Amino acid sequence: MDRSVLTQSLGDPVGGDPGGDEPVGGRALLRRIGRRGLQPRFLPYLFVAATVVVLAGLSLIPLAYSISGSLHRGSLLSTDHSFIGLHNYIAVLTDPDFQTAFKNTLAYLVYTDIGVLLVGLPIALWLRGLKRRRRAVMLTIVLIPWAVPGTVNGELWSLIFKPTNGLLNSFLLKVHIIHSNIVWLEGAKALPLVSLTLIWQTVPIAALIMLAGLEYIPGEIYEQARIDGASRLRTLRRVTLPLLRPATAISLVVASISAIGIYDQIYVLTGNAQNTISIVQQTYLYAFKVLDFGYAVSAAMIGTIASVIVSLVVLKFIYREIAF
Amino acid sequence: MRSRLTPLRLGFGLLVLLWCLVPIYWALNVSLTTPVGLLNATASFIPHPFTASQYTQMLHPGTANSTAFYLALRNSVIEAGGAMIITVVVALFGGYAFARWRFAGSRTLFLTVVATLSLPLLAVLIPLYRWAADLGILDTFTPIILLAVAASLPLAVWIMRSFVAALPPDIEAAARIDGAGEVRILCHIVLPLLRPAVAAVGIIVFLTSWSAFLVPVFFTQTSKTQPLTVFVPNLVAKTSQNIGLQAAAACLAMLVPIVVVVLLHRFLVSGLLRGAGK
Repeated sequence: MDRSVLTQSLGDPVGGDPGGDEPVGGRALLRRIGRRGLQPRFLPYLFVAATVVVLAGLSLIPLAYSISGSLHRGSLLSTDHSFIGLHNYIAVLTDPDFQTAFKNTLAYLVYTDIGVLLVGLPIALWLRGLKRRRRAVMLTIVLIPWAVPGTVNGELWSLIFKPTNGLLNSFLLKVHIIHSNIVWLEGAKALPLVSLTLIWQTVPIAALIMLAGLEYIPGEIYEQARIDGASRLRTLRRVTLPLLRPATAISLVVASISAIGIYDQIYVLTGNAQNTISIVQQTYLYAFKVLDFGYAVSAAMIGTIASVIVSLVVLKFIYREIAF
Repeated sequence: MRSRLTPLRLGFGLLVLLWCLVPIYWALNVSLTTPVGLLNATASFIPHPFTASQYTQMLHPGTANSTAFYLALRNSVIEAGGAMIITVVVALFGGYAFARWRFAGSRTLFLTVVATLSLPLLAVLIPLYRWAADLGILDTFTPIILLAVAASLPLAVWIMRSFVAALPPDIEAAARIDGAGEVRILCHIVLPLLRPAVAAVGIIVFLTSWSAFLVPVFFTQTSKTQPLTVFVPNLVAKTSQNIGLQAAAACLAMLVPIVVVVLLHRFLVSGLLRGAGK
């Protein structure tokens, strides 16, 4: 999109105003004529300057500091900040507390990805079958959980999982499935239930992405499948799901990144309990309880690297270019 | 493709409604039940006995809870609103430049923007915390708003760029021939056409910033700048027995985002789709 081409491609100068209410006249020409010399060279840089400053100052430079910090001693309790190579990483990776957090985070990732597929995909397929207006209404309702802040989300589910008087136990008692209250958020049950809150929050976006993916599949393909006498299940398996791979991959990347960053819900539901602690929580503990920023940044970098690897793996194995 | 309403569809639709709304309904139910009613062995599925007193405790000015609530509400509005305004303005110029011009380094720059899309907050949090501490700006709005801007900006630029690219360039070309300057073209010709894009980006940034928790909890030490997302868990920790009050606080904290989604879903959906597509 070269600008000179844009200017030349002007067939007819679009009479009237296209929605703007500002007449552009000869006076403007005179006023702007001096400024036009600036445009091709410097103006684009002026336009992107703020973006660059924000990203450099608040993402790239801090990232460089994180990497560098992870390679130096960083205890707040000592003044020795010498270079120690990968020592922080080794210390963190061999720390049983971090290993627990890492394993938990991996479990969050698996549960969340599976949950997002099992809940998000059917919702997307269902939305796709609705008529326009009904679909707009339902899509709005489907999006609501996404807008609920993480800590509030945690509080909503904690009211459901409360041992006495919580919704889940009250319901199960009333329909006589259980006869005494169950403590849900302890032991091995806690982590999958915390994942549920993250699934609740991530499904809306995943369903939306997959719905958009479904819309891209041309109708003729379904027409052809029907003519060939394919059953609905077969059409789903052989046509819809393969063609939906890119959208599915993007949904899974989004879900995985939120799972690796999980913090808010755990903070409310189970605090720092060992059975649910995540990498982000452990990072927080390193920084503010152990008071070692070297450990904290290394833990953070391990989380970051995990995000990148998972994203690449998901994209490589699920995302395939599709030609119609 | 659009089929009629079969029992299967209807049944599934009901399940979807339950999945999305039951957690919210339940908090509402608890928040409207009297503390005595909440002591029953099994909870009632409708607010019984009914009370609005937990909301008056949160909202009636003068009580300790309501003072803290209004302060947190104000902080949420300042932080989410501030992040929204700054991000929209920055992304408007950036997105426009990336959509319309090819300049030396534009490809690299744009790829960098895209790459930072997937950079977790965690990777930058600790150096930024230390800088904020050194500058003495912990417990102020500045770092919270700036980090919210940084977190949203890549997606915002991406969405804005895709909206601009979808506009026919002829109109700008016409204005350019007429001698309008680029800033004037952007502000008076492109911007009115980009209203849906500005709305979409604004809403997404507002909602994500309203939900922010990790940054506020790192960067605040007192309630001076703590938003509702920090206020709710603090209240839960302080009033462990009074779950009615906690539920009321949770409902109030999600009221604004839910209203925004319901009223502005059209823009939200178009923006999220632009962000997700491609």
